[in-house]
Amino acid sequence: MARTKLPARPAPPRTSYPARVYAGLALAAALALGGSASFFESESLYQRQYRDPYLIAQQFPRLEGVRTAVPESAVMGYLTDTSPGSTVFEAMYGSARYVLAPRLVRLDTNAAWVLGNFTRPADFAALARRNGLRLERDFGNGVLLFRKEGTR
Amino acid sequence: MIAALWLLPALALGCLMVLCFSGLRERLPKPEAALLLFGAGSATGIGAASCLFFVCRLLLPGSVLLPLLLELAAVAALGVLYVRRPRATRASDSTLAFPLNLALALALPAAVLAATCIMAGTWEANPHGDWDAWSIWNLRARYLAANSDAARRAWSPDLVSTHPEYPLLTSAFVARCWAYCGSDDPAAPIAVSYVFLLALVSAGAGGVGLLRSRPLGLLFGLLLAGTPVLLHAVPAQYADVPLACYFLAALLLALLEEPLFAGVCAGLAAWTKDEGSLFLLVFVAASAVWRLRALPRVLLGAAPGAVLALSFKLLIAAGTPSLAGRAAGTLAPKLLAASRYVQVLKAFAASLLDTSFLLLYLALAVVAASLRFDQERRRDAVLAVSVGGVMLAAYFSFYIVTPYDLAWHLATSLNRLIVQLWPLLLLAVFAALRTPESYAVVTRKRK
Repeated sequence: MARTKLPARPAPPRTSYPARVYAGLALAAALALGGSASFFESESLYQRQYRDPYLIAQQFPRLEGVRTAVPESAVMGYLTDTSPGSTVFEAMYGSARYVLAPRLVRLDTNAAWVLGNFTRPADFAALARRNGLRLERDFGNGVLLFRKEGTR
Repeated sequence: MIAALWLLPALALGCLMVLCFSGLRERLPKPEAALLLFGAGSATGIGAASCLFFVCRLLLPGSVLLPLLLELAAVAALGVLYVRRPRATRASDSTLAFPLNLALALALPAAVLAATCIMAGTWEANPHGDWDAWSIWNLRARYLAANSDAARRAWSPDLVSTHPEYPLLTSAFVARCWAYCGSDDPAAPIAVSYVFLLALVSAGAGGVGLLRSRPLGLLFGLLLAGTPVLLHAVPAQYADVPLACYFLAALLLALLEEPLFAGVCAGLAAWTKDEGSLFLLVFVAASAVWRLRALPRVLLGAAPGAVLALSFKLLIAAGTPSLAGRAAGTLAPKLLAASRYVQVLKAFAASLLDTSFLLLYLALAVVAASLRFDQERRRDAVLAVSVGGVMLAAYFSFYIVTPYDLAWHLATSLNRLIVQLWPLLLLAVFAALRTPESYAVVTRKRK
């Protein structure tokens, strides 16, 4: 059988780009990856320096007793030995509020349940009496639960 | 970990909404369209699920089943709608393949993966996030997750030091995940902030890829995934990365002639943070000036998020003094104090010229010098510049009149505002660049 010769296929077009287009995109991509490396450096340093700086994770076991004793619907008061406005005060109050939510922890002692959140040992029973409270339970580690006098 | 899995129905909901009601399905199977679909769909789905959960909490505080059933019913209905809709003519992916595409396409997931591995260390060290995460956003999520009237404590005036008037998109969504799984696992807020990063990078790479070209989209994604300040904000679990995602998605969708979902994203920005309400106003004004014909659909899309945010401010959390309200009291003396302008200018310069940005500026300069700008894309660039520029100017002005100690306010918040606007500033440059493909010289080989 005679073989017929097919017409030659046209050669595929060749696409080229100016060298500066390649170089520009490659360099920009490399610089962006440099940004990733910079993140590695800064975040590693951050992780070493700020490992749970406000001890939030530790508040869950620390306040577990209060979480068990006080119903979720409760509105609680708050008593502390830290100075209002200081970072320690804000961190301790804020973290207690976070851990105890949905209980609402207010900055006064005019509630049926009052959380005691202390940094130092003290005569807590006397402190309670001065605020019209009675000491319900000392959970240790500076965590106490007070009740308003006259409530059951 | 189960709490994080509850993100999936919301992501499905959002992606199906975008698939059914936008023109993106006609652009499939282009990888850029799939990326934008994931980015805009995830952000939309999280926002829609947040709105639904919050409204149900408001109307029936004790019921977890109602929002869950409504959400699953919406996913099922949209799924049926998607399957039954006549197939659109699929676009062929005939874009000219730039030789660096493969390398860029490999570099982008590698950069995201590397960033994820680094973030894992921070998640382990600080699973509850940084200060604002546990004192504002996740605190309110814990209230909203409660199956009782305690949910209303999320905007109690007793939280005055932690802004009970702030919008609740992220808090309500995290609460939804916690309520559905019955635990307060920190994996939920961690996963939410991470998904917003993925959505941001994905929407950026896909959107710029569709708007301009594939290599520019991939480079855009790489630049986002290589911005240390932005990446640091992810494990912090603040609302700034979600907000940046909504800003970028809104602008990209507007540039891609998808005004409905552009409006949806702008409206959800208002339900995310106060800065989002400002963005919504600026975005609507910019649409009125540059895209007037699309304005009705922008407004329609923005309505749910905007109405919820406005109702929350005016009706639900009414009476809580807002930042703007407190600033209004001492406006005149602060506006006239030249030293405040100098202080704010110096802080902006220090933040924007931070060493972590230098590599990225260099990258932008290199790509702009090698590709140059396309005069025909001026209109897109002007829209991006006008929105980003007005937002930047508004942030600058707010610092001048802030009710807080100025040095403290700048030190604790400026970087986060830069995180919100950085993708818009990148977009302003990328929208106007010439594409690498436009430099192609096609020659036929001679036999």
